[in-house]
Order: sequence, then C-alpha cells, then structure tokens
Amino acid sequence: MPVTRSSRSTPQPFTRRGLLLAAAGLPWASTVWAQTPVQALEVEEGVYMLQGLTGELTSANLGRIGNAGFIVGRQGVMAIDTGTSFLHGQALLAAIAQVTPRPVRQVLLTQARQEFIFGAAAYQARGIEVHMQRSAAALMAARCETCLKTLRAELGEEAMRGTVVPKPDVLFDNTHVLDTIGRPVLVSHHGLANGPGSASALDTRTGTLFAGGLLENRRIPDVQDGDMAQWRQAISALRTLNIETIVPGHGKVGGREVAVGNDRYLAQLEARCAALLKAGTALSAVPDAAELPEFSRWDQYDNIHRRNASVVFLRLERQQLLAPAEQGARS
Amino acid sequence: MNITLPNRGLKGLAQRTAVLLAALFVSTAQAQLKSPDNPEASPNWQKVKASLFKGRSIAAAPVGMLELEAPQRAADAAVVPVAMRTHLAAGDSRYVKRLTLVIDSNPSVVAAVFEFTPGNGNAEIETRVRIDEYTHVRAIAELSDGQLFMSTRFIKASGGCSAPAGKDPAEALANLGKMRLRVDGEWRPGQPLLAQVMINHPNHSGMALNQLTRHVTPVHFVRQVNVSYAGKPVMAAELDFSISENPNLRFRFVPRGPGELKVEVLDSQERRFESALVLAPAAS
Repeated sequence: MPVTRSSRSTPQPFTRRGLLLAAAGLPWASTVWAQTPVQALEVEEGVYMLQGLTGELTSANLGRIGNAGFIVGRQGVMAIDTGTSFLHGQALLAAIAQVTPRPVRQVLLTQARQEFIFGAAAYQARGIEVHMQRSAAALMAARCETCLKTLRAELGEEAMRGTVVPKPDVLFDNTHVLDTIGRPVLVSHHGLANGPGSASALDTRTGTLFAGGLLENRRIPDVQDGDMAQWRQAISALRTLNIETIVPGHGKVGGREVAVGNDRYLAQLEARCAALLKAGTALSAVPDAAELPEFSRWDQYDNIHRRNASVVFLRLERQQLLAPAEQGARS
Repeated sequence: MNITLPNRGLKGLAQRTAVLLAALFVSTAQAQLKSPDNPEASPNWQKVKASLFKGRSIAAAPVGMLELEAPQRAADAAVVPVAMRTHLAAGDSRYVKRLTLVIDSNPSVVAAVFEFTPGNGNAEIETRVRIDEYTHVRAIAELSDGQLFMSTRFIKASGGCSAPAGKDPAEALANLGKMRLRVDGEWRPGQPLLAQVMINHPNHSGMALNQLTRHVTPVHFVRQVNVSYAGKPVMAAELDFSISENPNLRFRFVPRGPGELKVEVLDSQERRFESALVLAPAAS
C-alpha cells in the first residue's frame, strides 16, 4: 500500500470498515496478522497497552518486541509508538479499532529505535499525525535507513513491505500538554536520557506513564544511544510527576518500582565497568566479568547486558584517556 | 621494517565494491560470504596470500601454538576485541618474529602487522578492530626460521542500528594523539609484564558518512606504533583503519632492568606522537 502525501493531507477518521477494506487489498498481510494478533490490554480506565513479544528481534517474532499503547478520550484516541513495520502498525491500529471506533488523532514516537518507529507509515496513511521530539527525529533520519536495510534482510521483504523511515508531521522541542482527545496528556521531553530526544506520554487522569525507552520492566535497558548520568537524572525527575502505572518500552506493565529497578541497573552497570577499567581488564574479558546476578533473569541479559558492559567500559576508558595525565604517565 | 600492505585506499575500495556486488546479486557468492565453511577459498585471502606471503606455504597452527581469540558474534561491530597469543615449547630456540592480522571481508584486508623482538617471552597482542560483515579473521605467525602458521576464526558482526556519532570534531582534534600507557604488575627480573597503549585518535577509514553533516570524513589513521624499553625495540606495529577508533594495544614484554617504556606513534598525516613511562623495580 503506497503511502502518499495526498492520503495524508485528507485525514480520514480511522474505522474498522476502513481497516477491513485495507486488509482485503493486502492479501499477503493477513497471514502475518494471523501469526501475531495484537491484543489491547486495559491497564487503567481508557488506557491501553499493546504489549510486544519478549526476546531479541528474530524472524519468528517479526521483530515485534516493543510495547505500544493508546489513550482513549471523549473526542478521540492518542497512540504511543507504532511497531516494527508497516504491517505491525496496521496490526496495532486493528487492535485499537477492536476497542474503540473513535478516531486516532495522533501518535507519539518515543525514541528512534526500530521496534517503535517503523509502523508510522500505517498511521500516516490514515491521516494520523506523527509527533516526535526534534533530536530523536534527527537521529532517526540519520541512521534508520541502515536499520531498515538490516531489518529487511533479517525479517524478509514480505514482513517489511511498505515500511519506510517515518517523516514526522509534528516536531516538538519541549515538554507540553496535548489536549486534542478530550483528555490531557503530558508529553515530556527527557533530553538525552536513554537516547537523544527521549519522550514519554503521561495520562494525567489515571497517572499512567508510557515511558518509551526511558524505562524497561525486567528487561535490560539498552545504553547504546543514551547518557548514563542524564538518564538517571531523568528517572529521578519522574518523582515530581503523579505516576501510578508504568507502561515500559519493553516488558509488562508495572508500578513505580519499574523506575527503581531501571535506576539500580544503570548504577550497578556503571560501577562495575568503572571497577573493571581500574583493574586494567581487557575489553575481551569485559562482558564475562560484568556479570550482575541481580539482573540475570531480566530479558536480554545475555545479549544487551553484555553489549552494555562493553559500551560503558569504552566510554569510561575514553573519559580516562582524555582526563589530565596521572602520575606515572605522561604524553 | 619494510612491509607493503596490499589493498589499501582506492584499490581496497574497488575490491570492496566488487565483493558487495557479488554478495548482492549472486546468491552463491552470498552463501559463501555468510558461511564459515572453506576459509581457504576466500578470494580476498587468496589475494593477500599471494601479495603478502608470495605464495609461501602456511601451515595450520598446531593446537596451543597460536590462539586467535575473538567473540563469535561481536556486540559492537566497530569495536571487536581480537587477541593473538603464541606459545612455543620450552627449549624452542625460535621466536615469533611477526604476527599478521587479516580480516577477509574488510575494505582493508590486512588490519595489522606486529613485529616482535627476541627475549620478550611468547609474543601476544590484543587489539580492537572494525568488522564490516560476516568474515573470516586470520592470525598468521611468522617464526624466526621463516615458517608460517595460521589460525582462522569466523566472526559475525554487522552494523545494524548503529549508535549516533556525537563527537565534537574540534575537541577530538585538540586531543589527537593523546596517549595513556599502563603496565600491570611489578617489575621483577625476567618476568613478563602486561603493557597497554591507548591512543586518542579517530582512525577515520575515509569511508564512513558523518551522520550529521552527510560528508565522508577523510581517511586519517594511526599507521605505525613503535614500542621500546630502555632504548631497545620491543614491538612495532603497522596498522590501518581496520583498527577501531582510539587504537588500543595490549602486549607483554620482559624488562631487563629498570628503564623507560617509550611509545612512538605516526599517523597517516605524518603526525608524530610520543609517550613514555618509567619503570622502577618493585619496592621489596
């Protein structure tokens, strides 16, 4: 299904009928949908989570590992994140349509990561505005063609059909309140936390936070794009908000303890890597030496945690290299 | 030391393009690249073997004599730790004169050539390399009697969703060539010590697109590292842009008495950097 400007410039309220018509036009899509139907989970009154699958991205799970969600107001729906592909975006929209006939007004992309952004074209095809923080959008524009190429290779052409790097309709800079669905949503910009332009959406009525990449639940946070100190500050700053329920980027819905767990992980990861650097550990030995048993049962511990350890070790090493010369070494 | 590294620059690029085209359009070629089977058949290896080793016979290294350590699947394709460790039997009068690191699928196939001197124990080096795609990686040891031995590994690495390039070029240039030397353990006569050289250098390959400016950053890399102790050469490395940003070398040497560990670095723009570390005997 080609995504054209014209289809976006004449917004159509999203309806179940429209979706069925779209499905009829895409016979190859139905098999993929059938494999992984998306079920909306009501986590608070009018607030729904569309939970991703666990594990790393594979052709078996079609890379559908990121959470998405939506908030239903009197005048419409605000969606958060769009899935891994055009088809995944359509599947999420179908799940929304199962819950409410009200039109989706806009969707927030919380971070420039593949499992959250690549369904955006499906939303735009229905005239739904895509919102993203400016820095996150810049990172996405700079790197995501490469991610898309890799995804096509890993998941196959059919699974990725129609998928493009999104061009957001609305770029924002700062934290603001969106009130277009008859229910105020606080869209926060957390700065360079888990990544540039990290954003979240808070349904202020129920205190439900769609945390994007800022928080994960029993899943190892990926530090590759982020800044440890600013990330921990951003998590700490969540205390000033009235939050009851957290929908993380990955993993199950939880309460405030989700934030505590994330912060503990980041703190321990950094402390361990600093100790390894001090001990003169070889980079090759870092992933094994960086075991953190407290988090060993979190999703992606064997994968992302090992990479995180190398990433943080290298950052600390660079800092050390650029720091003023110590006694015994001169340059 | 005169070593001609083949497949540099434009020639390397052309070769790279050819490999890419083959991978894209010929399914059998793709299967070959993605598979760890038959390392000897790798076309890039055949070229290196002909130009660098002039067709000399290269034996498979006996178990334990030459270990090539690398992760099977690299966590970060831009910084893949690779170690080459040799071990000759006690009483063997030979020494490892040279270790060559070859990465078949990289734009520049010969990543590094390390020269060692006798009397420094078993030659061993650990560094970090960039790996472009699934590839064979080879360590080739040349002994002082001219015999060649090789160990091969297959490594899976790919760019994927790379991290953003967020470095300030002005700051990077201001700190260019800044070094940190580290020696682990205390100096004791005849005992090998682990030394580490860390060099602040972008090691630009000349192929990466700056994600923000959309310009290709010109090639600029550390091409030579010479290490001496108490005035005598310990190790000399000829490197190129297959080595990761901020080149890092770990190796062992045997200090014969107190002295100064001295490191001299030359880069591809003929800039020269020096650093030194004085070793004193352990306080007893």
